[in-house]
Amino acid sequence: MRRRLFGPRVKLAVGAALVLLMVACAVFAPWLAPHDPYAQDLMARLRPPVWADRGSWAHPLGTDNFGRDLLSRLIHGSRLSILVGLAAMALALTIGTTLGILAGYLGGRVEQVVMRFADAWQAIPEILLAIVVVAVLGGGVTVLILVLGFAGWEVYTRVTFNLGRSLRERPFVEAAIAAGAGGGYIMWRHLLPQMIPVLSVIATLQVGQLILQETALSFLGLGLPPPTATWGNILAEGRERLWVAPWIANLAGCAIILLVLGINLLGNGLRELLDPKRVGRG
Amino acid sequence: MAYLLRRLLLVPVPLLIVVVFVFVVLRLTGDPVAIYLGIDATPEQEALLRAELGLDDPVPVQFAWFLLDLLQGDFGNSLQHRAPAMELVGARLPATLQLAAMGLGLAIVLGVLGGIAAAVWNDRLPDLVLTALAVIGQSMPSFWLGILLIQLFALELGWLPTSGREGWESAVLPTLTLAVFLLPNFILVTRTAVLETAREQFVATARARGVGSARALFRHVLPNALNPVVSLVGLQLGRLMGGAVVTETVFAWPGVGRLMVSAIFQRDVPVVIAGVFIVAVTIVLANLVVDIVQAAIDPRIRLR
Amino acid sequence: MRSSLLALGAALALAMPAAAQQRGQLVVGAAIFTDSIAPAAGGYNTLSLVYQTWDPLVARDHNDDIVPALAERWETLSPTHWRFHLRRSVRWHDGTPFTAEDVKFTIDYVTNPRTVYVRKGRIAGIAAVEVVDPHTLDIRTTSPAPLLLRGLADIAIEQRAITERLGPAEAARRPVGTGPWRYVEWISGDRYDLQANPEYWGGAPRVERLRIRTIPEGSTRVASLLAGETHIIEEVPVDLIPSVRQRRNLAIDAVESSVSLVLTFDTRTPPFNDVRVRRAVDHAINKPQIHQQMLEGLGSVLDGQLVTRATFGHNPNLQARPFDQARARALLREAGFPDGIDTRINTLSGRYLSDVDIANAAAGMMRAIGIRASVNVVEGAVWSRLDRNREQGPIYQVGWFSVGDADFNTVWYTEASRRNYWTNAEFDRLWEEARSTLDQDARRRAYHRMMEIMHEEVPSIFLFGLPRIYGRSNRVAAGWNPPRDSLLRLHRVELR
Repeated sequence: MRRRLFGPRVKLAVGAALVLLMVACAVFAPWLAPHDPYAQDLMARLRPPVWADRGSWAHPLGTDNFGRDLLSRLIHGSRLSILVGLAAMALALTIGTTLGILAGYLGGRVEQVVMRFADAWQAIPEILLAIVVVAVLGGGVTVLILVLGFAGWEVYTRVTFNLGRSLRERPFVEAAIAAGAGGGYIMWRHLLPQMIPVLSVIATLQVGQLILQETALSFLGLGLPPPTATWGNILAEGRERLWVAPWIANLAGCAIILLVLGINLLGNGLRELLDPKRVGRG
Repeated sequence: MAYLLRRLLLVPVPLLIVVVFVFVVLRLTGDPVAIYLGIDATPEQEALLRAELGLDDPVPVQFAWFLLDLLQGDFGNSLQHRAPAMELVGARLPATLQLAAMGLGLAIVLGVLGGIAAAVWNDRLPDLVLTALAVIGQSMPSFWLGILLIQLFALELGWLPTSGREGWESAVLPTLTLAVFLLPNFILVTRTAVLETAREQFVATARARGVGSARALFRHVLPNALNPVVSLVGLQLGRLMGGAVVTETVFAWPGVGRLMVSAIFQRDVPVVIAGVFIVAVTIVLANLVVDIVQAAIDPRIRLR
Repeated sequence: MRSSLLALGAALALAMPAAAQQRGQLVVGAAIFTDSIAPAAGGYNTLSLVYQTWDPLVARDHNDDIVPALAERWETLSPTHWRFHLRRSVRWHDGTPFTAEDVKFTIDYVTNPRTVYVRKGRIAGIAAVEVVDPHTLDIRTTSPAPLLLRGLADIAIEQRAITERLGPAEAARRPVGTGPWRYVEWISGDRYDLQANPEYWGGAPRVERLRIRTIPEGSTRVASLLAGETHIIEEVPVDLIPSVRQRRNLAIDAVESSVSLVLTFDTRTPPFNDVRVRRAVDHAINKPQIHQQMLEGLGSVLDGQLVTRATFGHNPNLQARPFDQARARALLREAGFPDGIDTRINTLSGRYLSDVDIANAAAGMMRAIGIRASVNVVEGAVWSRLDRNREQGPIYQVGWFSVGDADFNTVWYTEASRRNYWTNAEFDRLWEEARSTLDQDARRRAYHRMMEIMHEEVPSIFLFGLPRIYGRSNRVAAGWNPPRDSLLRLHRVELR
């Protein structure tokens, strides 16, 4: 067998480094950021990053549409973006997986109730959900997390349901039932671990999606209002200026990519290292 | 058979949930008459229009009327367009169906092949490249990719038109954009599913019996690995609408997505319901097919 | 007097030899594309499409001046009695002659309280329409109506026979008008195809075919111009102006619109019930800088008053309050807010040029003197509810358009509008007076005084006369003027 380019340990190290870097940025933002992320200077707007022709070290990553320091905004933006992305993902994952396993394992009436509701949920545009939540609850971080979380659960439900109804007929589940294990125990100890690989892939990708979605919702007055630094807002502001100031959207996009890549590598590395079935070297 | 029958009988349930939800949300969060007439509206005009549209009744009564018409296949008239809602949606539907079918088809083919390739060359260069591409694709907003593609293929190279829907050339960039939006999930989920299945006992047994790797892959691993991938096809149908809206806007593609979004903002209930209804029917039927296909591929699933 | 001079001008224009018609197609990339081409439906924006096939009785030109259209001249027989002399030998696209009966039919139908017609408020003062002979028409108004002509400019005249036969909704599906272009095909959300009307009374269009495409995304619209797919595009995003200008074969045509972008205070509750606080905010916002940076210096900074320089009623003696942070801080201290104020600016997104950007820039400048303003982007339907209930909050950003006469946008500061957040008895009285006399000098004096009152009282911060920014290919040889009112007038456009 040819040598692997990167085994679980490398993945774990690179992934952990990326994620730690991002989290450190979020935690220490006020000390790390060279400028006030809200200080605007219209005369210095749309300055390119230091490596471009007209760049300077005063603003290493350039400035945005209002002359605010982009590096400082990205560092500060990591706080809310990571929080929203991870929290909303966790919410969706918990709701979706619980319902999906129940429906898959129990089948029958539970299956029909849960899965028909999931069908309906899938068809409802997210904007509608956002509109009703804004009308009832208003804006803010918590509401945003709730909306994004509740909008995205059915992904997990479908996947776990379909895996669950396949898994429940396997010998190890039948053995557990024969040994007198209860349904809850079987779902938790036997079904869920089998689903983790696929779930973790979907969850990782969803974090990136959720951070992007925050942008779309701020348009409805639901997300975090424009002066707030979030990666989504930076990206949205860069959108109109992709031609003249591509670095704004590109850098915010890179931040999201690095975070998702980090979580992905970290997750894969952890799983492969800890997996008892793992064979071969690491 | 009994399972299939029950599923078919239950088809109206999610549809009803969707219709109720959309109706209530739109009715209670905005006033279509005020939006339509704008700031110049006079009270007399508003009263007149409200009476004409039956908006004077309490919301539950309005809903009852609406449902009654719906049962007869009448979705009502659009206020903004002053035309039957289903006719409007129907006129825009082919553009979106074309985009969706080609985008999803491309994403499935490339995604599954890419995922298998990544799994076969697990942890080596192709895997690294494909995984990185998937992560980048997923974190890249569609509008960004769309504008990039326009710049490259329409402006720099001049091969394709920037936008619109005339001739096959105009469909290339929107299809590509939508496919990239859907692709990453297919690559990574296929990759993981193949890898997980490959490590299971029955594959090892088959390999031990002397089955070659290619044969093991296609005969033993793939059919079992497809479960989450097939689930994903059904799921992506829901995401498709969201992706289609952005793609249709960037490329000025005259599809249902844009129609629906503007109808939502104008609280044009009949149009939104007509559109969502079609999406819901598609999703419900697709999920039914998915569930049955999965049971057919995977003999361990018993439908009950 | 003025009207007969105008009529003379139009007659001269008609007498000029018509240029030979070009083969080919003029393609316009539109930003705003309404859901319907029916004259009754939709607000003001619909007119840009409606007037390709239909004409009004009198029209606005690209400069917002009133010019003859289906009526070639008019006079007032008494302050409430107008006589319109219709253009002879005008034919509908189906060959039927156009007569006064068509005009009477349209106006009666629009003003009928039982019909829903979105812009009907424009000609609300009409009491009766009388046909004198096939080419003469009298309109009587309930009171002297100085705005009648501007109102009529927003009403497309429809053909009686067809509308009666098919009903207004059906008749509007395949327009048969008197306008410069004949209907070919309308594809909702995509394009509007038209063909030159060789018998157009204003001279046959110079190009054989016209296509108006909707391209909602600004960058794509510019790309379509760069790629040569469109000849004229609407609404070039401000930051893309340089990328159009740097091409030798493309140009930017900008014109000041009559849309005034303002930040309106809720003067009914603290802290903005204190005029010193409102003036402090006015001093805190560096309008020329925002104008240069966010609007590329296009359009104008308003002169400390609601209306633009080109609008009837502009007061030449007023100037914008200067940018002066020290003065702003002093005013805040004086008003009892030494520690500043927390507040909020409501705005729509994408309704007005660079709206969110301008609100953000203004908020950033307010922050510098201690007024910590966040920007709250509001969805359209919610916005209309807030408007209706007068709940827009401490500050909201809005664009009021005048289409050339101060009456149309000063109304939003009167009690009569039920949308005002500030009230002033003298202002309300002057507004009423100015709209009920035909004496233009008296009207002008009234508006000058109203502008003064607003300048002192600062019910709003008067920011910018927003520009309309068009991109044009140099294949457009002649006949194109960027319109202040955003309506596309294309029949004189020649292609190279």
